[in-house]
Parts: sequence; C-alpha cells; structure tokens
Amino acid sequence: MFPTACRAAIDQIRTQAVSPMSLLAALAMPAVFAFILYSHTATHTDAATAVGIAGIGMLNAVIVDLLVSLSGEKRWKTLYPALSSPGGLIPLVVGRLVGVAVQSLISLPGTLLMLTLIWGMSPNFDWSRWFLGGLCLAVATTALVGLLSYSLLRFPSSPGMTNGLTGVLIALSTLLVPSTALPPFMQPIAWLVPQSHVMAWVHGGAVAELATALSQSTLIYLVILLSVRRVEHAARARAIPLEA
Amino acid sequence: MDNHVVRGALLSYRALFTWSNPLGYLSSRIVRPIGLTVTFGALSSHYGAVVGPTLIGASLLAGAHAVIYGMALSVGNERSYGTLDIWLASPQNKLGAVCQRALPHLVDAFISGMITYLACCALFGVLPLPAQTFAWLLVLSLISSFGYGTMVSGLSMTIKDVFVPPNLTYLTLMVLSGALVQADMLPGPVRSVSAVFPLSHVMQGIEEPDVLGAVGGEAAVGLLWFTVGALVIHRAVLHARR
Amino acid sequence: MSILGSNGAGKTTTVRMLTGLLLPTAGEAVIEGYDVVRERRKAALACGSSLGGDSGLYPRLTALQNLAFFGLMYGMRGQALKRRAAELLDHVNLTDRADEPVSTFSRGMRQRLHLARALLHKPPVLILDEPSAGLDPHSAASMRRLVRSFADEGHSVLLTTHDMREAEELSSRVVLMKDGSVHTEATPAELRLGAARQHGFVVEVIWNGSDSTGNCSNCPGLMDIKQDRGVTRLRVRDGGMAVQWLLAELGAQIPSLSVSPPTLEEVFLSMTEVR
Repeated sequence: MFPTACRAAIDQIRTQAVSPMSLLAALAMPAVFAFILYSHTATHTDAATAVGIAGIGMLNAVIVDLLVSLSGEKRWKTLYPALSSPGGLIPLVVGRLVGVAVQSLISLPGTLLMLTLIWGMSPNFDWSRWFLGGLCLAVATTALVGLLSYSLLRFPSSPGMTNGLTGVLIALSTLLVPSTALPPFMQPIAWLVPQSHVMAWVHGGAVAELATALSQSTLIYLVILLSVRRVEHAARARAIPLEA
Repeated sequence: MDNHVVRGALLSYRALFTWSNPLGYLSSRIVRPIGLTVTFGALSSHYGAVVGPTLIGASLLAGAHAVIYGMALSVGNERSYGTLDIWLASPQNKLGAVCQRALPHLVDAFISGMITYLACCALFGVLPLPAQTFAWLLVLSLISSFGYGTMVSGLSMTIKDVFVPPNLTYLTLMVLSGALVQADMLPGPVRSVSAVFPLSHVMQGIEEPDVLGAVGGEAAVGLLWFTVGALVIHRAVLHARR
Repeated sequence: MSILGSNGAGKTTTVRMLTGLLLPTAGEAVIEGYDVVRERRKAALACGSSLGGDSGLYPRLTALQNLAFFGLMYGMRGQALKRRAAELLDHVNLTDRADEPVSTFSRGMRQRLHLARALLHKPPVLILDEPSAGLDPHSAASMRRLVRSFADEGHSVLLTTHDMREAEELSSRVVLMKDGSVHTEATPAELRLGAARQHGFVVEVIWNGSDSTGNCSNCPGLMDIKQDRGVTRLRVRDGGMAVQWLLAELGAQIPSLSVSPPTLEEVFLSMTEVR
C-alpha cells in the first residue's frame, strides 16, 4: 500500500505541479488578494499576513488539483484497476492527497517572495510561525478539501460544484481577517474549520490552537478514509460507475 | 428578438455551460460570490473602512464573473466536446454566435449580482444603495463586462485550457476595476490603465455621483473591449485554419 | 469516392481543407463550383461533413436538440428545421432515442447522429472521415447501407477509410494517397486489374479431398503456390489460361475453382510497401 501511495503522490506532483491552472491558483490568486489586502493596510509583511495569503493560494490549489486529479482518474477509467488491486482505492486517494498537499506548498515561499518584494518584510517577522503555520495550514486545507474526494468518486461529477468552496472557505478560514470581523452567525462556524485554529496560532495564539487544528484535521482524514471505503463497497456491491 | 436567436442562445447555454446543473449553478453563481463578498466586506470593516462600497463593488464583480466565465465556457467547451471544428466549418458568423451565446449569461449575471448584493447587505446589516439603484448600476456594468467577455471568448478559441483565459482576466478585473481596490490606491501608471476596465466608471460614479460619466464611460469601455474581442475572434478563426 | 492511405498520408488534411478548417498553402479546391477559400460560406453550405468519433456532438443535449443547434449554425430555421431533424432521425433509426441526451448513446448511435448532422442542410456533397471506424460488424454494415443510400439519392460522397471492403463496396472511384499527394486514382476494379498485371491473379482450387491434391507445378504462368489442407492457392500471370489448364488437366478432382485479381487491401499494401 505504501509504495502505491508514494507513486500516486509522485505522479500527482510530476503531472500537475506546473500546470497553468495549478500555478494560477497557487500564486496568481493570492497575489490578487494580497493587493486587495494592502489597499486597506500599509504595514510591512508579518508572518500572519504571509501565512494567510499563502493559505488562499493553498486553498485554491488544493481544490483545483484534487478536482483535476480525481476527475481525470474517472475520465481515463483508471479507478477500476486501482479498485481491483489488493489495496483498493485508499492508497491511490491518499497518494493523490499527499501530492496535492505538497504541490500547494509552493504558495508558501512563492507568496512570501512576492509580498516581501512589493511591500517589504516586517523586522519582527516570525519565521518559525510562518514555516510551521504554513505546513499545518497545508495539512488542514488538504483535509478539509479532501472531504470532496468522496463526492468526486461516488457521484457523477457536477461541473462547477467546487466553485462555491473557494468563496465559503476563504471566508470561514479567517485567512485575512479574524473571525470577529465576519458576520455574527458565521463566527462560531469558523471555529469548526481547522485553518481558523492554525491562523489563531500564527497570530500569536497558544500551542493548543495548533493541537486543535491538527486533531480536527486527523479526524477529517479518518472520515475521508472511511468514506473512500464506502465508495469501494458501493462500487463492488452495487456496481456504481467509477468513470465519467 | 427573433425566435431563432433566443432558441440558439438557450441551446448553447444547455449544450456548453457545464455549470448549469443545480449544484454547479448554486455553487458558482450564488455561494462563491457571496463567500467572496463576505470576505472582502469583512476585510473592509476590519480595517475601519466603510463596508458599503466594498459590498457594491464585490457584487458588481459577481455579475462580471458570471459574464466572463459564461462567455468563456460557451466557446471553450466547444473544444472539450470536440465540436469546435464543426462550429468553425459552419457558415455561422462567429462574432454573432458569441454575442448570441452571451445572452443567457447576461441574465444569469444579473441574477447572481442582485442575489449577492442583497444577501451580503443582509449579512452585514447595511444597505448602501437601494436595490433598484444597484440594479441599474449592475446593468451598466454588464454592458462593459459583455464587451470584455467577447475578448475572453476570443482568447478561449485559441487557448487550450478552458479556464485559463477567464481566470486571468477575472483576476485582472479584481485588481484594476476599482471594485475592490480604489483607483487612487493603485500605483500611478496603473491608475490610468484602470479606466479602460469594466466597472471602473461605475465605481467612480458611486464615489463622485456622475450619472452621465458612468454611463458614457462604461459604454465606451464595453465598445473598446468588444472591438478588441471582434479582432481576437477574427484572428482566432484565421489562426485555426492555418 | 474513397480516399485511402496509410496514417500520415494526408487524408484528414485533405478533408480539413475541403471543409474549410485548413487553408491550403497552394492550389485550389472547389465544391459545387465554390472555391473553399474565397467562397468559404457557400462551399460550407454545399458540403456536409462528419469527422466521426466519440466526440463532435454535445453530450448534454438530446439528439433532437443537437440537430436543432447545428441546424441553426447552418442558417436553418423554424418548422423546416424541426421537420428536417425529425426526418433525418427517422432515416438513421434514432427516432425512438430523439429526446435522450447524447451522453447515453453508444458509439454506433453517435456515428449515425454524426451522419444525420452532416446531412441536415441537404448538402449536395457529403464528406465522411472514417464513418465506420470502431463500430461492431453489425453497426458498420448498417452505416455502409446508410452511406450507400445517400449516394443513391444523388449525393456525392467522399469518404476516407482504412477499411478496404468499405471502400470497395461504397466507391465508384478510389484515390490512393501517399506522402501528401495523390498516388493513384481509378475505379476499384481498375486498381485490382492493374495490380494483377504486376502481382498476378489468385486461383483458389478446392480438391475433392485432402488426399486427392493434384500437381499444379506445370500450370502456365505460375508465380507462387501454397497448399493448405485440401486447398491450393496459385498466383499466376493469366487467370483465364490457368483455369483452362486446371480444368483440362485436373478437372475431375476439382469441385470448386475461383479466380480473382489482388484485393484492394493487397493493392494498398503494395503501394505503401508494407508487404
């Protein structure tokens, strides 16, 4: 299982890492958000801003890459050989998720470079919170978007259905502003999203925030694994189509 | 309007607009613009700015988004379905067809923009402009967005990845239209470029009320991009035959 | 008329130039008197083309909606378009599936719909790129019957194909293309007879039993001989003379005898030097 997952992750990176859409999502979109953010504030780039802007790139990139990857598997009918292999679909899906997460990390240095060049870096830039926060954000984002794997695998894909995710998750992840700036009814929902806890830690919160984010992410990954098992069962028991 | 024009427009919408399923439509035309407008509204209020203009700008952008992506998909998906050759080989006027296919997306854009505006105003508890006034501004911005969309359609005829042209052009609009970033916040040389982008004159008209300027400006911007679009489409058709 | 040629010979490029999808770098092409470059619109109206394959139709539209949408592209309107679409769906046996999305269609059904689409605006010339490629034998035969019937109705049909039987069955003339130019143009019979002068005729002899095989080594004009369990295949310079000799010398042992020039497939292989 492990070698299959590794292969799936490597192939994911090899085939999609420099696709125009992936780069647009991971780098161009956060650059635009940075521009909008800096039209409101004139400070130098601190770790929280850098991680938040990178988070927008990660979110977009993970959605785009996962969608392209899994719908590609369905279009090329490659899920059937995976399903008939001893490990089933799980190594493939895990590998793709790992690959997508690694791919999305390009946003971290990419956006920092852009932010520093255009707006300069704060003298008190907290490198450890930037690096660790960025890594945790990639893990949390991939977990949350990874839930999409189930519907992508299980149902005939409805094109466009992931578009709304970008809007909702950018708002709920509190990547640019704290949850208190959101409309009141959205504030408690934001804390269900692991990215919010990562951002709270990056903003100077306690380690418990990071632990909460990682616990939430772990739970979501378990849900993803169970849901993929359900898809496998449905495909074998009820012959649901695994092709586009 | 002639029956066959409407019929062709509706068939093109059903055939080529892949987001016309309930989930895709709701997600793309309603949830996404509301989510983004909430984000930008929250950003404004967090940094002490007045939230109203941001809600107006982001909602107008939601309309522009619907036009740009709709028009791009109505041409780009010809490639996805392998029908681009048949369309190119037909005697149909391609610019005329692009305009015809834009009709349902203009209606969609109006719906999307209005819902985004009203929903986000309710969420933030403000109403910076009466709904009717906003509706007129939206119609005005859709005129220039249609011109811009014609150019995006032309690009979609030649660029293989159907989503690259609308994404690139929409991101440009986010920065340069004045909808989210006020023109005077843009660097000097970029500020003058902003005037040729859709929405910029409407947004300026909101800051310094000038109805004629906004109407004339948006119409001129629309005409400019429509002319560019016509040239791009003409070149794309010629390019396809070489 | 069929265009035959190996991959890369220029068949599809020719079709794309004729249908206005590619501009020729030199020369001219005329359809129904209209130059495909200078009078592209009129030439496009004069020809219907089907580039075949799984794609080329809108999967989200029904068969009827597909025909309506393509009809509008070709300037058809209103009731005339509705009637023509229904008539063609009937012609290609898809009336009962008219209101189902094309995404649910089999390859054979899509090919038939391609054909209906190509005929929608009643073009005098029909250009088909491999109309039966990838179809099962039954669907391929049905497709050939359809094409034949359109030719019988007076349409000029130009088809590119890899299927020699299809070319032979449907074409009054065959063009063999090689390296981007016309190598040979003739009727299928002329091509086969021409090849026979070079490669000889095949005479197939079926003997009374595998133990009563006769000795054919003295057959006049013999070029090659192969034995296979009671059947002998001779390649000879003159089919008529060989038959006369066989009947005279070994007639009592021969219940069946046939003579044929090389098949179109052999002509094709000989031209492309695969053999």
